[in-house]
Amino acid sequence: MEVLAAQIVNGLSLGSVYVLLVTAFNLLLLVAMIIHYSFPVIVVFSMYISWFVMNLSGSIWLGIFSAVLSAVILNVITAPIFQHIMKKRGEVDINATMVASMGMGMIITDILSHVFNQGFPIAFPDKLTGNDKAPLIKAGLITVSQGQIIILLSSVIFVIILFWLLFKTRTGRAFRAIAEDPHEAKLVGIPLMKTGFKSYAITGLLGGVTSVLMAVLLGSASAGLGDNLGHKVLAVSIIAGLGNLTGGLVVGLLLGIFEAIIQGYFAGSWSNTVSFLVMLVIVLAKPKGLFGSNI
Amino acid sequence: MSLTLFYYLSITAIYILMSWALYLPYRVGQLHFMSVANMAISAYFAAIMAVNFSLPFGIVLIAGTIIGGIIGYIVSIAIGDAPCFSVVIVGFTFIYLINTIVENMEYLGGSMGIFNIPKVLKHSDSNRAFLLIIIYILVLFTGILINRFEKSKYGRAAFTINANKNIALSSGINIKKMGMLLQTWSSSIGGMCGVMYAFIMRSISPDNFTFNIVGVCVTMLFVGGINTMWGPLIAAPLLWGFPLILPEKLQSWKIVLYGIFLILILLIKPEGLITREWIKKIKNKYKRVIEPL
Amino acid sequence: MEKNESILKIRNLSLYHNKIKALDNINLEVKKGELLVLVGANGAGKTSLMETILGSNVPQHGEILFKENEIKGKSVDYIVRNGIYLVPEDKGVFSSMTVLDNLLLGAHNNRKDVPLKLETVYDFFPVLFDRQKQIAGTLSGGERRMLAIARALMSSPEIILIDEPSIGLAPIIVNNIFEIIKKLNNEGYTIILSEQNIYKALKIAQRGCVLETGKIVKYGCSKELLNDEAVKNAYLGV
Repeated sequence: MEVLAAQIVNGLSLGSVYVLLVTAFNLLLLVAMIIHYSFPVIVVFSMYISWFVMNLSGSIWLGIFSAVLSAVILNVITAPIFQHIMKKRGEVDINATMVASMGMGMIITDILSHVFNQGFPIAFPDKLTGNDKAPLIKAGLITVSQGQIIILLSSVIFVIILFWLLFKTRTGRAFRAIAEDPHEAKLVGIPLMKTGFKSYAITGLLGGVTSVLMAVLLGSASAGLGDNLGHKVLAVSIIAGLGNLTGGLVVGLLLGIFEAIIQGYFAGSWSNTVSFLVMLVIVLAKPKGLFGSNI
Repeated sequence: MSLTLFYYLSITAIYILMSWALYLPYRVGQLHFMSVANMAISAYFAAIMAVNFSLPFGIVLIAGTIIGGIIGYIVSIAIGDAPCFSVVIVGFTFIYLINTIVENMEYLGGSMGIFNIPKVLKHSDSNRAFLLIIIYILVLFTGILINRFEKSKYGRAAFTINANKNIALSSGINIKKMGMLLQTWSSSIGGMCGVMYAFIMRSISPDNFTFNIVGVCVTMLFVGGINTMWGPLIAAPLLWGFPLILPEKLQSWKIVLYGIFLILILLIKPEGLITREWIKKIKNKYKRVIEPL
Repeated sequence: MEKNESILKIRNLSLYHNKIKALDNINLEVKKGELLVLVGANGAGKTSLMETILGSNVPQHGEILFKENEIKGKSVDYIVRNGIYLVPEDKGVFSSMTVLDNLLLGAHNNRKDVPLKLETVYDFFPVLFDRQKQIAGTLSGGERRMLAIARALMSSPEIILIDEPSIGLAPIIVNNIFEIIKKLNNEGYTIILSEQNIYKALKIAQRGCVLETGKIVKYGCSKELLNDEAVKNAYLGV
């Protein structure tokens, strides 16, 4: 029982990272109308950038700043590619955007495995991860570190900001209008491309923050991490129902907790097998998602 | 025959087949990556059978193909008419699942893989020639089958489903059955390729069947042309061949180049190098040359 | 404000959808403050014409002058900002958003005096005031149509294009909607209305024009059109 409780606590921080990734993914899907499968690859790329800058300058804050900056820049400069692909097709061909995103993923992943650290996994300094400090709370098996608190708090804050932005601001209103009916939104006078562009910038920002949180949580990264996360994010999004923001929150958090619990009971990499199996069973049983899709 | 040439010719053939395996379900608008997972399953099956049980090549090939088909069929019962991205995620999850299982099982060689898969024929050169003949017969056979399918009423039905699901439904086309047929077919091609791959490379490891293969096949399919079966036939030899003539330093950047090609083709010519109209034009020209004779 | 000053001029406008002619050499002049009705069967090009004026379709030939400025080829949001607004047919509102959100969307491009405009709109449509917080999808058909028109007012347009407002509504509500349109016109809005319910539309309009397969075949005073034999036979069924 104590193992379970301890793993649930651990899973919360993992789950909140998934939540941020899935929310950004869903936002891109709803507003920019693309399946950005490789969005997590961009996040991992930012992790590498921040590692690089941290090693070069020795400053943690500079590293964090550069991670956020690189995610925003990368997301914004890829926007014209997606927008061009969509324009060329006349209407939304979402398969093509997924394939283009896969292409981007291939390029970035390969660059990561060639250029940085000779292809070996990178490890973040203890100053960032806080691994050298004693945990804040310790009760039996349950330990809560400073990093976990930071991750949980910042995820909650960012999700709240995001929902505030969506439901209380002019830009958010335009986002929701496009998500419901792009053609109608255009007739109302919402500039589709410009508003889509904003969504790239916002998700880029979100991705940058997530990359820092992931660095704190995992303490290391490898080139293959991006593909792995890409798969998980798409899976969460589909299990929740594509484009279902609240569903994504629930399923993302559940996946994190579930993975942590499994890790508590199964040895090493068998835990991955179990979580893949469960994912597979859910998707096969409910191909259209648990909570219904908005697409 | 030199080893480089043998690998070039045989791997090209495998990629043609694998791209066709993606092409078939895409006829009804599904990106079905199960074929890569099936390739891994059948490759491991073939390796185990050949190394531990010394089963003959022919039986292993047939069994591997059938295993692919059966797995594809079982999966297609659930996702025969599922939306594209559910199909995508099933494929990816299967690939990762197989990978983790293999890595964890000593019996399957763990992350090291299986070596020493026996040659089919004793002599090295005749073995290579034999495998090449077999795989190109398979390419020819599959190609003719796909061509037949496209021209049949089933091919037209698939085309209708891709163009408009509602019209297809109201004209009495069974979308689910068509999806199941194409997915099963695709998976059995994957199985077939897996067996051939094991015997051609003579050693396999989980690293051979990752996301990269999916990327390469998708590139070949989209660069060649997603609307015709001739696309992969042209794109696979070109894309697999051109890194070989690059300077050695650039060769390791192959995947980056593929990614760039993939994005460029989507930007510039989204229907791919070879389009249906182009094929029609060629056919008409061909007719005009033939007729006066 | 002179009544006879023309606000929108369309000259030699042609639009093709993949080589199929949707609009064929349209010439049209709309005067400030008038109510013009576009009459025609399904597929005659009414919606195409409206979407072309709004900039959603880009025509291959011709010019569209709005207050003597060329607006052909400009983006929809530019045209909306400058004072043309379309009330689309059929759905018309964002059904997952609240009534208030829908209204504010109308003011997306013209953000001046939003509270004031809201007040005017609520004066005009008291129903909507009571339902501000309600999800638009739960409104009745007539209320939705009113919301769509109200949203148009939020962008303080000079020309309102209203596409088939009576489609799918009960006759009594249709009368209601037409009254509202008439009232809007009296307040000084220039309105272009497309309608299949010709009799009612021509009754409230000053002028009408008949579209057939993308061409304007008749153009004139609404009284004239009501008495025209050909129009009577084709559309009124008398």
